[in-house]
Amino acid sequence: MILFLRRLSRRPLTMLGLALVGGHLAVAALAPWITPYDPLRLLEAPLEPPTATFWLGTDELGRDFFSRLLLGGQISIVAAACAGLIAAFGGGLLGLATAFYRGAFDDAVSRIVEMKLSIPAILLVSLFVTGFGQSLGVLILVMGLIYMMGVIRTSRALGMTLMEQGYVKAAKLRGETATAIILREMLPNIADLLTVEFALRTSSALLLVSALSFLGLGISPPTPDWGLMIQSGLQSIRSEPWLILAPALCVSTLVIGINFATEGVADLLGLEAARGATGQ
Amino acid sequence: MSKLTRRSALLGATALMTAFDSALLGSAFAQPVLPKRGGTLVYAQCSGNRRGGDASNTKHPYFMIDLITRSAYNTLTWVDEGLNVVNELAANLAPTDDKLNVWDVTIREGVKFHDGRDVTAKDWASSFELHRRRNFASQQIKSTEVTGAHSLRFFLDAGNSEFPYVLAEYDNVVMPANDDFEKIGMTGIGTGPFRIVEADPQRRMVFERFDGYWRKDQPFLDRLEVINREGQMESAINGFRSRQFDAVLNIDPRLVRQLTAEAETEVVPASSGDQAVIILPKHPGSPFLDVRIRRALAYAIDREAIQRIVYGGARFGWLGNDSHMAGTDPMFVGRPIRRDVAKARALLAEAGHPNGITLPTLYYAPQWPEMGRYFQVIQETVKEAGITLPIEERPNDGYLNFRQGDADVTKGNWHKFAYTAVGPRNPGISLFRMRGANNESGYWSGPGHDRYLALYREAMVTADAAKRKAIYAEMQKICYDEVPAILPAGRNNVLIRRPNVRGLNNHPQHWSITWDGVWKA
Repeated sequence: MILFLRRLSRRPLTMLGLALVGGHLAVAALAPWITPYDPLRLLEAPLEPPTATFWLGTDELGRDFFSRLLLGGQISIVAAACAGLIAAFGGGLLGLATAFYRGAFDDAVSRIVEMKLSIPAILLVSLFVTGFGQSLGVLILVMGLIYMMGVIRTSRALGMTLMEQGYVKAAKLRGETATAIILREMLPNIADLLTVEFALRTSSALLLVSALSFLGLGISPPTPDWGLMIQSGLQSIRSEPWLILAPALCVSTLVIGINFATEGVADLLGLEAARGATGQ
Repeated sequence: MSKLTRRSALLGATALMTAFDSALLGSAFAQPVLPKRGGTLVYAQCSGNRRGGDASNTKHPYFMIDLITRSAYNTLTWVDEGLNVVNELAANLAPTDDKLNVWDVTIREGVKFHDGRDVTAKDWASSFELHRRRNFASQQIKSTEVTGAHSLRFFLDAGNSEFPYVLAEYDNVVMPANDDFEKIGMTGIGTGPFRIVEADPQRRMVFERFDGYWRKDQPFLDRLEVINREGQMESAINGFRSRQFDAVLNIDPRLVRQLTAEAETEVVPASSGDQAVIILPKHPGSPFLDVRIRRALAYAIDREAIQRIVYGGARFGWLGNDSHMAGTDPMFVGRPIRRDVAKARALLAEAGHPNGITLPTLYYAPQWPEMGRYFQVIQETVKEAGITLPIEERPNDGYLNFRQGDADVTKGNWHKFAYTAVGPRNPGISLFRMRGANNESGYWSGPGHDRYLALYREAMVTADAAKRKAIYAEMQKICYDEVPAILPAGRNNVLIRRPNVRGLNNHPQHWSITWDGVWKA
């Protein structure tokens, strides 16, 4: 572990990524206590420029923009992390199961995965959200399912390799159940991969949540959310550009941070294949 | 420094005199700039077509309303920018007696359809067979009778002193006669200043000048193109900035400050515009069955905050009174108490909610660009009275079906607690919208409703405007007391145009802007 951390500290981009992610997570966690004003309260005239009282001015409803910015990542981060967790854990298990059972089950799951990969994620999420409502639960579940598809593929590929390993064959010969083999023998051996997948899917989900909020299909107003803030700041891009630049900077620094950190960690863990696998 | 000689002084004085004379003469004999014929005007419409339209019906006047109604079609009367009714294709219009339930219309002669055929009373009668079945305001027309080649008689189910306004409703256009109601109007042939040459459903309509138009020498433009940008105002404004559009209709009033400072941009506000109706459904189990909760909500909303924050003040927004009346209407009566948080809390306590109440989710669509802000202000201001109001934005597309439920209230599929928009009209039409049978009233019923309808019937047969005004005031007081629906505040429509676009006036009824006199310098 100490060796791992020492190697990690020699990678400036990875350290930068970890610092960015850590910073954002800390702000999101502490936001309720450090925001200068209630982010929902109508305090001043709308679209006031930055002053000593309101550091980033007020938004289109006269709410303190800085307070909203501090809280803006909270729900997006939670939603993206939950979706990443569903994708990594669910996709990992399903991928291993297809590798274990093969045959018709493998074919069926693989075809579903291929079908899903041919449909753009944003379109699919929009359809689900429009059909089932704009609740956070629906959003998390749908994003989790969407990002699960990519994880199924990678974990299935690794699972196929594991199936040839002696300890898996031995477990089979001992007469252990499929569930036990998958959970005890195979899953721990793809934990590194799933950790990286979780981080990558979370960063993609974060962008997707922001995009959906921007389109009016994600988090509902008046909740402070970076995507929503970008959308409402769009009208004032010429007169109050900070209303769009500040939340955009927050989204991009967090996503860049996750990607830098993940790339470094994946490299150190020897997961070359997972590096840069930010697609579906 | 050059020397001032006698010669140069004389020359200078002559030049000054000449300049002075020409300025004086120029202003004395200044000629009004004559409209120029020709050219293409392209505009974007940010509030286009709530009814939608597809390849089969997109030229029909009942679809793509704001995109085609006043370009391709005409009505018997028109409501002007001051909301006064004036004749359009009617030459004369009068009731036959003081019961006001039979009206005679003499129609303008020499009016032609886009296919060159003369318009006759038969076409009007055929058109109104559709309107009286489908248009909400025309359902009072029992029948029509052709009394001459250019005269028509309307029989109403009850007297209506404001019937000329009904004829100005945007659906009530003339179309070539056709006994098949499913087919009439589908060809897009009207009598308007422009004829439809291209129709891309819900996206774009292209018109060309109709040379046989009844207003001589009009229209001035050769071609008119309208692009639907409902819910996409930013792209419309960017299109204007990049000179794709000569005008953009129905923009967010919030942008006025920004756009006023931009080069070659003229901001034109109307005197009034749409207001939001918050429908309070009164089905079994709904909190809005209790009038105290309805009144508490009405008292809790900070209407002035909506006007100030959403519309930037009184120039672009006005305060509603929970009736469908527009704030600029001379018969409008403001709420005696606009906001009273203590009273709202007391009413909630009386209704069994001393610690406040959580209402069902209020749905809205961004039909107007400012709607997101509008409902966030409401949500935040009612908190002070202990009212938790969840809100949810729904996409424009499909919103009507989403909110309306089933018109047959016996089926139990009720209207949602949701927003809709309503444009300013005359009191007769506006106040009729709060009838119990209309979902905008949330299916209001009870003694208050019955009294309201009785007053409405009385007003409709009262020819004297002053007496009618008193009745309308009483009806608005019932709305204040009973709060069948909440109409907190309205907007003044705003359009932007290039300085070379002349004759394009804004209108409180966004569907009533006319293009006859528009030209490009």
